[in-house]
Amino acid sequence: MASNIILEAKNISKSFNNGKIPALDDVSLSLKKGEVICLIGPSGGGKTTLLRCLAGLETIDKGKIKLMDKFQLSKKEGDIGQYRKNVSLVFQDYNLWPHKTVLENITMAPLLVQHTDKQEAEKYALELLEKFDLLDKKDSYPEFLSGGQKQRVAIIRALAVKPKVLFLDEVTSALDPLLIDSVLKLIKILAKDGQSMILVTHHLEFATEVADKIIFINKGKIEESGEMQKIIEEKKNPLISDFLKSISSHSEYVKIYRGREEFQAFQIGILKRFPKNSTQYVMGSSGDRWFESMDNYYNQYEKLRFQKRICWKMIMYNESPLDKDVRLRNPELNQYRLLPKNVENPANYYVTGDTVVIQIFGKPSDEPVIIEIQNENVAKSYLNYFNIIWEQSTPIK
Amino acid sequence: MYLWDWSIISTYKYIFLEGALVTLWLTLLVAVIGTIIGIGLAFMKRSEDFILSSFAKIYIELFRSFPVLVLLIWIFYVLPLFLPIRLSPFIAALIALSINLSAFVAETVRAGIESIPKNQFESGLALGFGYGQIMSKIILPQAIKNIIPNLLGLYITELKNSSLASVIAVGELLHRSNILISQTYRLLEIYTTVAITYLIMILPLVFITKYFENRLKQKLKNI
Repeated sequence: MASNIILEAKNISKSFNNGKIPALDDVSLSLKKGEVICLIGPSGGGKTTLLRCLAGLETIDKGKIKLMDKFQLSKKEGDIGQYRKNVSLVFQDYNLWPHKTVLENITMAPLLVQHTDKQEAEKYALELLEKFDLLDKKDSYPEFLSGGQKQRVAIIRALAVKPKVLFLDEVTSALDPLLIDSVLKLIKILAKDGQSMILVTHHLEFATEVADKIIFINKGKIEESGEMQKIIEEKKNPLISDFLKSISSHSEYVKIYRGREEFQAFQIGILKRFPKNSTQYVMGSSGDRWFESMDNYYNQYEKLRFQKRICWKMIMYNESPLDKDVRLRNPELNQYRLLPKNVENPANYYVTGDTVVIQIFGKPSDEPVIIEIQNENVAKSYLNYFNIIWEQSTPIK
Repeated sequence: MYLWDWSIISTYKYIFLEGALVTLWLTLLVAVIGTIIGIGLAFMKRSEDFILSSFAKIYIELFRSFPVLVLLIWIFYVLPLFLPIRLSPFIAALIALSINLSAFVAETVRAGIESIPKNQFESGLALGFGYGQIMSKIILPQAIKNIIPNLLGLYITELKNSSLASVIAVGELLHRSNILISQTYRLLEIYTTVAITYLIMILPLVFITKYFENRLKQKLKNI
């Protein structure tokens, strides 16, 4: 084996709930020293699980993970505690310790885990803070930092233990678009400095720029790996090309609203866009979940709806007699037929003009997500991505 | 018409004072022992070891549902029949009250620990901390702010519960007062004094609890 390979995973598999929910299936990868690997792929595909396994936060069911020929992890063997001391993981939602200042957050691991001298640890922490423009925040508590600053501190905290490999798990997805840049800039500097990293990201442009290798993961398997340009050019795999198409057109046609507040604001906003005396057709199965997500805003919504005399019609997927009735009376509805492949995922869809709105509610504990797509083709690829069949419907006679 | 005679209180003031001291001493010991055992139980209940966690679960459920008075009487009168020991009333009261308190402390501490998000724990793991380090440096310093006001509340209850020890003749405030009544027959004055004495002991604790609660609220407001 070449000596410059720093981390190697061989045929690792992982499942949850005693094998009931498979998460990773026979995944192998290797990371050279100073290399940056980006993991991409649809949500729920196993990216985060792979990262957590590699960081030693989850035990693997099968296979082996090897770090610098020194540490080996498998299901039963390996000192996971020692292994963890040599890598570090940065989480999506920062997880800074609220009772410690920024400087203490950063120096705690070197002092307690690495047993570094206090002066030395502080010196290194201050160096890092200065390098990434956060020196003036060293005595602040995390609650007084912005999201971008928190995430940068979290990355510095992970760097302070001088990890052999740094794992970054969607570090920008909890941030405002405005704050993302500062974090991406930091990661670019790290890549230039030769820090070995594996990161999960949804920013394809950024991934192309920073990564030496890209790995596309779907349903727990590596579908494709190599250089970004190669993957895009070859487009062997229709799934990948779909995914790439949908994700790279984010900025132009696609707007995503996450969480309850945005959901409520969106619902009231879209009502304002509707002309008076029109009809809003909603197709879907969300039922109670919709009302639950509207919460206190439901009254406001209804008031506005009555003011503008907007009719609200819900059409279920299964062609019940009622649905048929609505369709017969409203021929414009026959244009599209939207069917989800799994009914466990409640969702609403509707089409207004050339805009397709998809509301996904997920599990009861999930926050609702709204995807507004202003282009039919992009919408189609998205629907595929969320397991929804889109087809031109045959008119009902 | 009842003729109040308050001179009796000043005559026997040392009896009340001694009684109050015994009450406080008993409560203090119970608080210390009960808290230590309770913290141990909280960790046992959270442990992944099936035997340890089951033991803690049964212990906590059992002694939370037992009336303290029943436990007290049982330990003092029934336990010596099974074991070759004779417990003094004070020790019996100490054991019964500590067992009772520890069950409640365990639940309070466990709830406090579990109020800290799980990802705080994982962020420690990801940086190579051990279990003990994560607990002592990350989780407990945050949890303690939620735990302390609740613990103080439990101590106040325990101070009140200590009066039950009079049933097995522990020389605390209520028991001494009862003896005094049987000698002087000044029931109304003495029980009134007992009530006031308890109030004097408990009120400072109530204010301390309020102070901690307010500080916690202030802290939450800042976040």
